[in-house]
Amino acid sequence: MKKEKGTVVIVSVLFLASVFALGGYLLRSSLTETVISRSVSSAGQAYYLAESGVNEAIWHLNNDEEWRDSFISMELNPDEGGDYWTETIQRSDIGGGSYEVTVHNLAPGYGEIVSIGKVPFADKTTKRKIKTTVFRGLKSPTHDAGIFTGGPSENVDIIHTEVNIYNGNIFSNNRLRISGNSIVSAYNNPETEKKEGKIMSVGRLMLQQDGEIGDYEAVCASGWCDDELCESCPPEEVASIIVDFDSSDEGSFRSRALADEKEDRCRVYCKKQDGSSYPCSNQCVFGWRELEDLLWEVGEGGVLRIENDVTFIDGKMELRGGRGLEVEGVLVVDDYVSVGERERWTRQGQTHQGDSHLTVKSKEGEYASGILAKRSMGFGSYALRKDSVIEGVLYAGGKVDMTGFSHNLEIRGALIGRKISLNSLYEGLDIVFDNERVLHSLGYIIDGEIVVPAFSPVLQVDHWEEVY
Amino acid sequence: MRGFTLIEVVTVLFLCTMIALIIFNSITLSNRVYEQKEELTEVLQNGRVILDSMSREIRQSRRIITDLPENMVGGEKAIVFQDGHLSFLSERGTVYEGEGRELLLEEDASDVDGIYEGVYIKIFDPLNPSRGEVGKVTGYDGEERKVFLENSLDKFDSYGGLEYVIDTDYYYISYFLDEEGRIMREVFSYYFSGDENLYVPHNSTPPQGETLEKEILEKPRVVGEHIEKISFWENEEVGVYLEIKKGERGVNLLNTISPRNI
Repeated sequence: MKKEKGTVVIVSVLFLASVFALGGYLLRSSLTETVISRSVSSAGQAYYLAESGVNEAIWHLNNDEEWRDSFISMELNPDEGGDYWTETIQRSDIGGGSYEVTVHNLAPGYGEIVSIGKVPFADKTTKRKIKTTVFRGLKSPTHDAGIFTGGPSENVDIIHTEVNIYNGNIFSNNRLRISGNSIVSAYNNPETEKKEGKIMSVGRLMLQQDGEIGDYEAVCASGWCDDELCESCPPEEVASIIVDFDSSDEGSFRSRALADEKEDRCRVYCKKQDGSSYPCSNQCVFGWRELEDLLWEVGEGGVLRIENDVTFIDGKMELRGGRGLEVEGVLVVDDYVSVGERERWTRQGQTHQGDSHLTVKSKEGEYASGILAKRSMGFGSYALRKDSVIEGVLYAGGKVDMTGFSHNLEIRGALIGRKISLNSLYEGLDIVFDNERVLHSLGYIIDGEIVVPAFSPVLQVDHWEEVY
Repeated sequence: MRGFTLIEVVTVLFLCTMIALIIFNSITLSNRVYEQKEELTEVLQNGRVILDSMSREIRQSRRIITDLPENMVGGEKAIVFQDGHLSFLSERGTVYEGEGRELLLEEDASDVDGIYEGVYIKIFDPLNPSRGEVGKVTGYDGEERKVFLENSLDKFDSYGGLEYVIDTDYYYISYFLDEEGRIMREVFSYYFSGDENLYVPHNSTPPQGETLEKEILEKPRVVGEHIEKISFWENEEVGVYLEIKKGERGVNLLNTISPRNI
């Protein structure tokens, strides 16, 4: 046999091996890249699928009669032996993914929505889960309370604060906690037949760390009641007070503001620190940025004066950087309100700072005035420049936080929220309850006529939580 | 039979060397490419983890505390916001018994399974209220009122007879860039020096003679590294911009987030 010579085979094998090795490396790293980029995009996709699930559930609760009735009234699900009402929707093959959303009542008219978005990729599935609570508010009296929380189980917390309520009660739909040297007093109005001055809480009245109740007529709370009230104590839970912010109904605040704007009845003035004043808008409905622009325009130490019967802000409102806001009428904010929670305001490369200031009053001979926020309301340590009076109602669909301003505040109307926290207001908070003002300012009486607000077309969305 | 000529040997050696060089070079190149890809992967992974974690928590927050400018340019390097992941819980009571990572709460505590999961519980001595320690709850058995802690509390051998506070109203989360280019996350709350077991908002004014103190609920921990630059701003939404770089590889990421619980 002839012995073969040459190196071609060896060289070829070596060369091919190196090409394979190189190819293998590149393939592996590019596969890793692909997996990463797909997992990044599928995570976002899954989150938004879950969010669509929440929105679909809210739509059903608003528009599907069967859902709505069950959500509002059905405490127990007859089919499943004692469990609360629950309903599930599954949607698959939406943009390559799917979601499953479940509404589960925690109480009548109060439920939790859990939505899971799923997107398959490779042989795995990306999941995102969102939980949110929703509740439906109903028209309900404030129980003649100057401080009132209604709706699902939220507390009133008073810490290091002196609170006086004149002509009214205090009502917490859950616990009322008075702590850290706070004194809370409630006084009866001798001119009315009704007896006010009651301290009422559906849950317990907790006096902690030297917190105390000062003057009061009676206590009505879980585990604590005074003689004549005991038969009906603790008080029954109440729904939150619903306000028609933006439905298409002509009585909604948005519709009213739009109608006023159409009839050219809107006047807003800019007052600068040097004293100059000029009309700077004739709108009643503002985008949040339009309002920001006006507040920026008045400058540090300036004042924006709104003389509209109803003003509607499509978005949030934040007062900071030493601005003043004077409202003569009702200011309705479709998002949250923050007054003096921040000292500084940086915009266009400039920083302004200082205490801000809010005053509210009604027009002569009228009752409607106040600040109404669809979500939360916060007053911070830069909220007041001097002892002040708010002649109107402060209402928040979410939480009210008043913290650390160093002047006395008097509210002539009521303070209403889902949850109320009053913290370190050493100069005191005085509330002179005025039911007439509450009814007018919340839109229950318009131009002398009693209007029952239409069922809010949008459920209040409460706590938003993401779980993985 | 004859042997190889010198020319043949030299030629073969030359060819082999050339091939070896080519192979060596290509392996080095592929290694370099692989390393660069690895770096890029790591950089991207870091960015993804940081943005995911921040976005989720900012989306759930109740208030943005830091004064943020309107634009990305000149944005802040750190952000503090009020945590909103948990529902409002505000409770206090007595610990029935327990030691290490488990404790039993008294009857008044909730009977809902898992309700305290993720909250910080502060255990303190009622006779000496300033002797207290915070732990993170990782599980809760509602029927038994049993709390499972992430770590045992060093200050106490056993928890029986001590008091506990749970107050989720005012947890604050901070994200900041440290000197080593790492993004850190810290959770804290505030109290007045006169009462260490009552959490108050960040902007509270303490009573005369007292001070506002910070209580660390969770020490700063690393969320991601290799950060060159971070910027926070806020107009309609909160914006985050990140520049991440490792070796020669870098990515810039940007996200805007709308807080849901304000």
